[in-house]
Amino acid sequence: MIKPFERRRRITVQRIKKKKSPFIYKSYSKKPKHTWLKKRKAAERRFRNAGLISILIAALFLVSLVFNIVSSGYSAFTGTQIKLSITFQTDLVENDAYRKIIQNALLDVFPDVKTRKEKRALFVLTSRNAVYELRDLVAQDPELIGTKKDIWLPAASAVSIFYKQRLLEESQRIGKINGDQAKWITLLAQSQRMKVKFNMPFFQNGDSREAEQAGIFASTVGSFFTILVCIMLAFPLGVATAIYLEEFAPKNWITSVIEININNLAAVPSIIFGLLGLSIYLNFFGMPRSSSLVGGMVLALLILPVIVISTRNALQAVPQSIRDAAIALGATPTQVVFHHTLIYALPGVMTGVILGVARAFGETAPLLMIGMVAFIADAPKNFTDPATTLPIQVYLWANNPELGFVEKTAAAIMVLLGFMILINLLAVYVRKRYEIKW
Amino acid sequence: MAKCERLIRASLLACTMLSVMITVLVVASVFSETMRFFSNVSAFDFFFGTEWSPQTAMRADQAGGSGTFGAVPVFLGTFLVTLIAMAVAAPLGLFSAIYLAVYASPRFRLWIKPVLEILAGVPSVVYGYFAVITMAPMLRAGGEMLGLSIASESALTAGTVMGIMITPYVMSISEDVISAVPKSLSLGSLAMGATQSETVKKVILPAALPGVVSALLLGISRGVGETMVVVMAAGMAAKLTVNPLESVTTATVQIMTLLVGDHEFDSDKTRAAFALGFSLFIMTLFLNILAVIIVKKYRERYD
Amino acid sequence: MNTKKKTIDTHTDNDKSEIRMKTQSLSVFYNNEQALFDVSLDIYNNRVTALIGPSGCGKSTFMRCLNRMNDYVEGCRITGKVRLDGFNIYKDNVDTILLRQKVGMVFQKPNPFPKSIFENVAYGPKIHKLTSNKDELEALVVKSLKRVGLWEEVADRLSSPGTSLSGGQQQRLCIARAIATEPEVILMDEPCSALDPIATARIEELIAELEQRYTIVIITHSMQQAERVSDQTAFFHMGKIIESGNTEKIFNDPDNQKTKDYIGGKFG
Ligand SMILES: Nc1ncnc2c1ncn2[C@@H]1O[C@H](COP(=O)(O)OP(=O)(O)OP(=O)(O)O)[C@@H](O)[C@H]1O
Ligand SMILES: [Mg+2]
Repeated sequence: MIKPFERRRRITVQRIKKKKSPFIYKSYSKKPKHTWLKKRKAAERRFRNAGLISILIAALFLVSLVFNIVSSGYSAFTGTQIKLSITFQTDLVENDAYRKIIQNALLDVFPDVKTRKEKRALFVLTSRNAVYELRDLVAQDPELIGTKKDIWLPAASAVSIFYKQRLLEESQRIGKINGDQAKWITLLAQSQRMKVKFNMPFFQNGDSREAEQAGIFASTVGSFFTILVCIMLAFPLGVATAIYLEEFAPKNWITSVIEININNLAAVPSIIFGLLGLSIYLNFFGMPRSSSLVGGMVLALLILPVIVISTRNALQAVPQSIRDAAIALGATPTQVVFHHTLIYALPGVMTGVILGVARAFGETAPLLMIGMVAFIADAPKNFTDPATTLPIQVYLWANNPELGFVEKTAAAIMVLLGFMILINLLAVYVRKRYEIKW
Repeated sequence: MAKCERLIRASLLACTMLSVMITVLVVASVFSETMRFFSNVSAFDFFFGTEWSPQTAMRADQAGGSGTFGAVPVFLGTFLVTLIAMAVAAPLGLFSAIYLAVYASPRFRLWIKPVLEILAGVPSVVYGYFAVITMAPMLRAGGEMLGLSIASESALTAGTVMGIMITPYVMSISEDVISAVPKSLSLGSLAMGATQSETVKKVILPAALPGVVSALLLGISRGVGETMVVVMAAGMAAKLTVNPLESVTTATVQIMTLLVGDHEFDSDKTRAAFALGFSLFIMTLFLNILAVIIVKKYRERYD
Repeated sequence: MNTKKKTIDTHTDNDKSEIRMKTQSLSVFYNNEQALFDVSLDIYNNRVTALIGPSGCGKSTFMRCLNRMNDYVEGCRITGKVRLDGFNIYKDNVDTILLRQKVGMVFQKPNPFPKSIFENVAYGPKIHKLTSNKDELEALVVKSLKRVGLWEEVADRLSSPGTSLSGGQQQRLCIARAIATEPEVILMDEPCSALDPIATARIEELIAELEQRYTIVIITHSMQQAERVSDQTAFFHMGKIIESGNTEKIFNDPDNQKTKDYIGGKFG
């Protein structure tokens, strides 16, 4: 038994006198003499640098990704136009031969073009859609018929890229511009007949076979329809499930099985949900293929567990004392939840929902499986119309080897990433602005 | 009042039941198709056969003959791509997590965290695009310098990009796990004159090992189930190869190619996709449950 | 040099011991909030110096300066000098690794590594390569465990985890771990605050024994403990040293009224 000793006894043992150890002075110095210490320091440096380099690699990757996409995509936001003196010959207009009208205008500018081969090369300088623009012009203003007027018409995609990027040297030219065309474009440019303009069609149109006319409008609308369906299904269902599990469910093995179930659902590869959509929604219920309705329903499955889990976490963060206080005031269990717990947890819930939506917004694979890969030229008007989404548009264009679509792909990615950043900023804002710290 | 109360509760319960139904539905729908597939094609052939050519099965379908559904090359390809991805993501993710948790100054953390979060939020189709447009030519050029010929679609390209994609995921889980190790332990080690790296290697990592392992398992599970990157960059041909320079195919790629754009449903070919999907499901489920169990064990050690 | 003369004057009864560590007008800031104000204190060789004072007065802050553990506190800034054997340890070219090997530390809460008892004690010698082979290492571990009186209790379970020991045993294990690196100064921040009276008495006995070999600085909230174990006492208040000197003098005949009040239990 050890007894706590009273006042400290002076220890009489001879104290071991320590000599002032001069080695300390030297050994503290940063340039160690001992090789072992040298090794340790080197290991420390290596380890630290490995960490820093890893982070830098990740950051560098992001930078190169962004640089890559922006540098190859920014040009898609502008389109090139060619000014031609169009003669609206009455007979041609009546026969709907606008192509001929444009060809005549081109030949006016370059009268020496004679051979068929040369002509063919000349006539593809303008976009095929120039025809429709002329037709629209005439429809709007019939007075034009029989007159002559300078009109800006869209250039073909290859011409546009050639002109925008000033690829005047032969070696740089990729794709379809031949020597004659290069010469003509240069001449057009010198006579102020070419200009670069903000590419409105990119934001107004759907997909198109012509790169210069392809746009992201239809796919963006499709994305919004899909996300809308997804939120309308997953949000109430997920939040209700979370409330029930967290606040009302008896704690027994059934609820714990349900819990495990939902947690595991969160980690199921997204493509599996595509399989489900295909076999249940399309084959069993016969819902319309490629529609934003089915797409939204598939994505709802995908983010349901995300919402359930984040809502439960937010509810758990509300302290028990708040619930007790409400109960002590005579509130019923549902009143406690809907007047207090859920309200205080709402910022957390919303953050979770927004992040879930961000995930759904970028999802591609399960939507491909339910047939949202179709070529969609017009924006969907309702939930059952065939639709496509922004990430799928990216996928479709990325598979198109034509040069004009490369810049379109990158530009669509820029828009997609822009949306993602906006959604995430929204989540950050909600969290920073409204979250209650307990 | 009490009626209203009961109504709300009942509807909450109904929602919960619906959610649970969905999880059951996912499994049931995939499982039933898989079973129908295995009633036509022997499971042994599927799991151990080495030739995968479902397209020929389509042509022979009229005659009722089944094609060759040996999924070994498909699984091997999945394994290969995931392995490459983890070879990138494990060191990058772990080292960055350690740097962030141990070395980084608060200012540096403040700046770099959003960058890594953006990286984690980039849709996978964008990574796929990057793999095709940038990574593949880059690797090919690099390979040429070393005298290697790398296919334009290769396991290496897909795996590398997928690895970068998984890195922020592995990193954020590992960082949580490392930060969860009590500070007193690392201070105890540092107070004895250990360097930071010794503290990390000998005290923090051993203590956080289960968490780190489960972070890696979750990373693997992400890689196995990832679709877009491999669809765009890995290739379609099912080759029995472990050469990372060649094009390989993965389970997710095969599911996509078998089902996308195909309106007809009732054939061995489409059901094979479900069998692949089911295998995928089981694999990821196993990895996730394992990860959760490991983490739980580890939490208990500190609580 | 001035300070040295002054402090020695006030400690005439200790004239034989030499000064091991000293701080000279040490000030510490946490994010521009000053926690220590111009603190100067001498710490004598082979003596126990007790730091006492009310909570938040800066004792731990002061102690962390002595082995530069403040380097790991974010936003911490230090001015003034801390000398070990006359050498300013805050000089740029000081190697904190060697410094901390010489100035060991024991924490308030026992913090054994989640390793075996043996590995816990062997950790320091291994990283510093104090031994050249396994036998030497084992001998050193055994010696350290014996010195803290833990050997009999754990001899047959050296490979069980350090966390499986009782609180008092864990704290002694941590002390054993600290002395296994062969330090010259040992810092103890409230080493007994998490322990019961019996374990506390055991540690106090241990400190009395260790005093013969080591220079010890100890923080305690127990006046009795300070009186029992220490030779020198420094009383901190609001980031300043109000009074320091021989323990007997401080406890029986303090110069300062505040010291008297604190020791008498009027505040703190
Ligand atoms: N890491 C830190 N960051 C900011 N301020 C700190 C930090 N550590 C201590 N402080 C502040 O410095 C002052 C002194 O703290 P210190 O921990 O040294 O007190 P103490 O005397 O050890 O108290 P106790 O007896 O309670 O352990 C306190 O006002 C405290 O708030
Ligand atoms: Mg303290």
